[in-house]
Formats: sequence, C-alpha cells, structure tokens
Amino acid sequence: MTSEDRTAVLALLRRVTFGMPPEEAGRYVALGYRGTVDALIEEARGDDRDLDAYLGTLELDLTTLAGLQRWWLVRMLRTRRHLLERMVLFWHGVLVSASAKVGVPRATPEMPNPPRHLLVQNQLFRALGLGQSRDLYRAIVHDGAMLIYLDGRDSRKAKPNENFARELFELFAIGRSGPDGRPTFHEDDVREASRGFTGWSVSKDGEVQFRPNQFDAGTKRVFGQVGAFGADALIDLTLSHPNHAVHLCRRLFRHVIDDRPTEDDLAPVIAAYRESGGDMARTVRALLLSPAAMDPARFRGRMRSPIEFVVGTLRTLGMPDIGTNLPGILDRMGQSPFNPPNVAGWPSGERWLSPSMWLERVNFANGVATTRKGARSDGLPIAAIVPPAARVSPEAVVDAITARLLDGRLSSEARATLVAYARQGVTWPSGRTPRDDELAIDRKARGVIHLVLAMPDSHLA
Amino acid sequence: MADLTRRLFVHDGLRVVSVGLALPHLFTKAVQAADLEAGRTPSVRVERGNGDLLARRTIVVVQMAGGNDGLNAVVPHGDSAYRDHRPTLGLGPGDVLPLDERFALHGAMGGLHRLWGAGEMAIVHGVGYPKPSYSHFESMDVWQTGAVEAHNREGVLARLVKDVVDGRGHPFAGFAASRSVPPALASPDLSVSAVENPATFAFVPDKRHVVDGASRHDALLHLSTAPGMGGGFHQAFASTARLAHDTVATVQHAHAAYAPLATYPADGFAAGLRLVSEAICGDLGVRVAYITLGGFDTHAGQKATQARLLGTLSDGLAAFWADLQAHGRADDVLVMTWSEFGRRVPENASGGSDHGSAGPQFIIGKGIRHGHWGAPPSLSDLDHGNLRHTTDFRSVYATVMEGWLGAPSVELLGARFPRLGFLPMHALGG
Repeated sequence: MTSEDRTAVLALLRRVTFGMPPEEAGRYVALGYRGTVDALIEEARGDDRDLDAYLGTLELDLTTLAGLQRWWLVRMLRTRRHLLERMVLFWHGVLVSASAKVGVPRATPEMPNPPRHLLVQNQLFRALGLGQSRDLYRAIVHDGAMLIYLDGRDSRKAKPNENFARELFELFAIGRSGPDGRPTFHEDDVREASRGFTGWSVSKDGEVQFRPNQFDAGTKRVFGQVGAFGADALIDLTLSHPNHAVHLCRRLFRHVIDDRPTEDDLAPVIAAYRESGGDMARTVRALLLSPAAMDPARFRGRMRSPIEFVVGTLRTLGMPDIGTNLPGILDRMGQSPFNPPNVAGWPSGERWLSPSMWLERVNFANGVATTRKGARSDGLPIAAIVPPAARVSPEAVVDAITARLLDGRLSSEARATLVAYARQGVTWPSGRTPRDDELAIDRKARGVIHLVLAMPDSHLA
Repeated sequence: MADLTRRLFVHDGLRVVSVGLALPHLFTKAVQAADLEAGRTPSVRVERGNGDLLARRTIVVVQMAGGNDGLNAVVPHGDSAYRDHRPTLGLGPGDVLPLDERFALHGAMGGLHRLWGAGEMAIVHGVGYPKPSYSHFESMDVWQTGAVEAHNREGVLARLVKDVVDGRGHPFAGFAASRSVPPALASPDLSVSAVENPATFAFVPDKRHVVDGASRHDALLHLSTAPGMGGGFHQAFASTARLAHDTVATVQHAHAAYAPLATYPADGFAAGLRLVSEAICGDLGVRVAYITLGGFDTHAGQKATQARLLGTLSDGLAAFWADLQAHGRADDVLVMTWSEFGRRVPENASGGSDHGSAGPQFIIGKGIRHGHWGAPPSLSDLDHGNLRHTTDFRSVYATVMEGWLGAPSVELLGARFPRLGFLPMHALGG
C-alpha cells in the first residue's frame, strides 16, 4: 500500500460516500482503490436492516416535511450502503420533484394515512438507483410525486400538458443542445410526446391510476419516429436519443468528480453506459476507474453540497444523532432535502457560496465543535478525536484533527495557521494544574475543529 | 494590504460598529489588494455627470420566476379573442380591476391598481425577444445576461454595477434579498451582498471560549483568503469571506436602526422587500437591488395559484412603496418586474397554461411617465399559440439604465436598443 493509493482511496470515499470515521476508512484503504470501488458497489446490493429497525424506533412524523427530512437524513447518517445513498441524492437532483409543489399531506380523521408521495419516490431511487436506468425512467413517469410536480396527473387526451415531456427532454434525459451546440429536440417533439404521456391520474388517497379513455392512443411523431407511442415507448425513444448518454454521464460526472468534464473525460463513462444498456452500477464503476477520477490533480476539485458537508462532518466526527434543527440549517445553506429550488435541481460549484450561505456553514462548524453531551445526543466525542497522546503540543492536536477531517491533506501554510492559533493563549506544556490544562486544551481543540471545518478544504471533495 | 483586511476583521468583525461611509472606503482598498493579489487590473470607477442625483438612485428588480401568465395579469378585457382562447381560465368583469376600456389588472392586484391610479406605474406590453425559448432556464439566461445569442458568463445587472454605477467594489452597490446571489447580478469580478435574514447573517461567537474569539476569527479569515487557500475555488472563498466579514456589522447596524413605516404582509416576499427598504433607508449605498417571487409556472390549477402570487406581489410592493414614501426615499427608487416568459394563449386542459413567449413588465416610480408603453400583441395573429413579441426586453433595460442611472446602455447591452417613453430623456436630472 503506497501513500498514493491511500490518498486515492480517501479521495474516493470523500467523493462517493457521506463520510466515515478513520477506523472505517482504514478498512477500505486496506482494499486498495479498485477493491474499494468493488466493495462500495457490492455493499449497495445488500440491505440496511439495522438502519430500518432503528428508524422504526424513532417514531418520526412522516406527514410533515421536517419528519420526512429527518427520516432521510438519518439514513444518510447511518447507512452502510454508502454509494447507494449518494445515488439517491444524485437521482433526487436529476429527476426532480419538490415538496413546495407536491406537498406533504397531513393526517386527518377522514384520511388517517395520507399519501407519502415524496417518501415513495425516494424509495424508488433507493430501489433502482444503481440498476437499469430504463427501469427508473419508466417508473418515474407514473410516480405520484412526479405526476403532481410536473402536472402529469392533469394531462388528458383532449389537451395534453407539456410540462413533463419538456423537462424530461431538457433536464432529465437529453439536454437542450448537443456537443455541436445544435438543439437536440424541437417544440414539435415536446408537443407530440406530451400526447403519449396522457392518461395518468393520482387519486386523493394517493393511488396512481391509468385511465385508458384519457390516453391519446393516436399516432405521434417524435425525434423523426412515427408510432402510436405510449409512456414506455417514449421513454425508450428518449433514452436512445444520441445525447442521452452524454447528458446523464455528464451529470453523474459533475455530481462525483467536478464541473469541468471534457469529452475525453466522459468517453469511458459514456461507453460503459451504452455497452451495459444503461446499467448504473457499471457506469459508476467506469466513472470511478476512469483516468479523470484517478488523477490526483483533480482531487478536491468539487464544491461539496450542504448535505454532503453537514452529513459528512457528523459521520466523520462520530456524531450520528441528528439534531432537530438540521433541516432548518440545511435550508439556510441552500439545500433543503425533498425541496430543490426548481426542476433543474440544485446548483453546483461557486453557486453554493454567498456570504449568507458561507456564514451558515461557518456557524454550523462552530455549533458542532461546541456540542456537549446532552439529553438528545452524546455531543462531540472530543476525547476520541483528540486522545491523550495528541494533547501534548499544538502540532499534535492539529494533526489529529486534520488527519480525521482532511485525510491529513492541507497546505503547510494552513497547518501553520492552525498551529499558531492552537499555541496562542495556552502554555504548552502548562505550568498550571492538570485540570486547567485539560480545560484549556479541550477548548483549543474545539476551536481547531471549528477552524478546520470552516476552512475551504472542508467544503471540497 | 492583507494585514489591513485582517486588522479590520479583528476590530470590526466581532462588534457592531457604526461604519457609515468609512467601510466602503476601506473595503475598496481590500478589494484592490485582492485584485492585485489575483493579478487583475484593479477595477476603476467610471465617473459620470449628474453625480449627486444619480448616486442616490436605486433600481429594484423583481423577478417573477416560473413564467407569469401576462394575459391574466394585465387582462385585455376589451378583446373578445381573449375569452375565446380562455373559456375557463379567462377572467370576467368581476375578477378584474379596470385600467381603461382595453385593459384591466387581475383582481388580486389592488395595491398596484392604486399605484396606477396615482400615476406612479407604467406597463410595458409584449416584451420578449426573437426566436423565444420555451425553456425556463434558457429564457431566464437570456433575460439575466441580456444576450439572446451569446452566452455571457456575467449577469447584465452585474455589468451595470461593476462597469458603471460603482466600479470600486462597494459591497452593497448590488444587493439581493436572498441567500444566494441571483444570476443577473453574478460575476466573478463583483461582490454582491446577498442577505436573506439579518438575524442569522452573523458570525456566531463561541460563547464558552470568548477569550480567543479575535485570534480565531483572524485565523478563519486567513485560512479562507490567503493565496492558495481553497484550490480552484480560491477566489470564490476569498471574496465571500471578505465580503461576509466586511458587511456583517453594517447589516446588523442597519437592521437595528430601521423601523418600517408601513405594514408589510407576513410572507417571505414582503420580508425580502422590507430588507431592501432597510438597506435603502439605512444608506448602505444600494444601487441595484434584487428580489425573486417564484411559483408562476402554472401548468395546472392556475386560477388559485396566480391569484395568490399576484396578490403577494401587489400587496408586498404597495407596502414597500408606502414605506419608502414615508421614509422620504420613493423619489430615488424605480421598481421593474420581469418574468422569463408569458404563457400560451389558449388554456390547457388542466386549468392552466403552458410555456409561452411575450409578457408585460411593470415599472413603478415617481419620475416615470404613467401609462401603456410598447404595442400590445395581437391575440389573433399567434405563433403556434404564442404571442408575437412587440418590444425587445433590451429596450426596457436600455431605458432604465440610461434614463434612471445614466448608464451607457450600448456598452452594457452590446448594441443600441430604442428607448421607451416611460422615462423622459431629461430624467437624468441634467
């Protein structure tokens, strides 16, 4: 095991998991890079029985948005299927439905078990997120949340609603323009395809029904093909559009690696997607083993989204208990789970940074660093993060903390800044009583954790 | 210069201080230092005439995101073709507030109707651009960058701020009442203050360990701004961190000093407008303010949704206007709305309407010429069910840029677009 291998595995984990403490990361490091890729994919095929059981004990109110968000955040914080859970977030950002429009119906005496459309959709992403993309795209057509979000439930033979077909082409599957800059589809394709997505409805209690009398069974012309296309046939036509593989693989690349994929970067990923007939596990594997993914110059080239940063921080520090205020914090950082801002999903890169959103991240970092044991959580396990052996010098404290949070990768100037901060105001070693030393060092260590979590490196993957 | 920035941080970042005009000056130096550090030419202010009057003026841009159905906002109630296209979605005489024999406002827009009556609102009709895109994102991009063909990286309002109204990097010249910087104001070379809630726009100190607060903030700023920090995102982190620490105290100060002199509705849009008023009345130096009201993508169930949204828009703006008037600042402010497109003229089967093309824009101000501008599009000569635009959106920008801020629209828009009559040529105050 070379240090390059170790660095690469840790960079990989930072990209495609929600984080983990060093002990767990060490087990992947021992497998090597390829071994880790295979292990992450294999684990995604398993189950999460312990997590399911734990979620059952929490008695979350799933008829509220905050309850749904906590349900998903607990999954992210505790799953053993690291890669799969990241793919759920990926698909949520591609095949978008948002609670602002879909709603989260409350229980009433007439309807004690209201529909949970967004939860059902989330489970769909979990069930099919690493399977055949065709199955997922076909299923999303008649997913309750999607039928509400993009108005498919109101689309009837007499006057089809164009919303779903347009966004399917433009954002979900094909993109507006191809590599040559020419349009990939035309208005007539949208209008014609809309006819083939008619006929679906969502009943008040959440049941999705197909009503043949509202379906337009006539002949349509889409992408130059003519036929009496229905939803499945239209999805197949969409996924066989020459730009589909390019579009989806680019979105995947941007979710995992960075925002600047070249044609060469994407080529092996697109090839795997096409050759496997849209097998997402094989596509992800090809992406992670591609030259771009393994190029050390591109590590930490992507801004972490708020969910990645928050969940990653808590997992890496060994704080799997979710505070009740986490949904609100994420909302103010700009990423409210189940509620993307619009049908294009969340932004990326520098758009995650504004003074407001940055302050929210900095203040979250401080909140985490100062969390003490309380009724709801065990707090920050400072004794495990900075064990007695590390409490001997400012350098040792900084190294223990940055090894955990930054895989030990930071510039010498950043390390020097942290060490200078840790040294200031504390006598190392102290002439005071051991109890005073312990308190002073504890506070300093928490200050260093705050700084490390606030510094740019913690927001990159 | 980096030392100056850090000293500022230590002394000012932790306490609320009255900064007045000193901060922008110091900030300017920090920005110039950052420019030099990044190997850029320091931005230079373009000095122009009419300084005193123009320097007080602000435009407030209101984005109606999702594609507002213009036909049901400014209703051509005198046109029989309107009801033919909209048998169920059409608004009847009891649902509208007449402006004249041809047009009426949606009935939920009582506040704007009063501004029209007071002669302080203009409507620009049929605004759009050639070969319209029916994609939200493409069409927003066109409006936000001010370019139909080319793909500009910078927002058109960002260019307005940094090239004309304030080239010195004044942190509040561009101001967004939102947590993120809107694309229309976004440029890698411009710092724009985006504030959603002053209560959380702060560095929350570590209450258990206040003794090292100053040194910790010092370290935080260094880690966020020093050369090389943040890798490929260095500039974004550095400018964001500098902007945050330079503006937090000012925002808090303005927030504490401001009291609204009108009753705002209790929704998020009105809260944002209140914040814009706070920034204007607090003399933060706001020149271009931005706020978004979303949800106009009414493919289904349009009647209830649009009524709610237009009510929110109208009630919020009416309160904002009353507040500015009571503060004696309404003379300095011009409000301009926009939406990425209007909607299809014939209604759909879902009680809604699909993506369309041209739509109306509202202009509010005391110095404007009240009335209708631009030719109302025909309801019978349609393009695949869509209105043909009659007014290029860049003409509206050009009119506001030149007529309100004295800015050279040809440079900013890349071509000359004819000015509309809602701002008289002498509005420069010359």
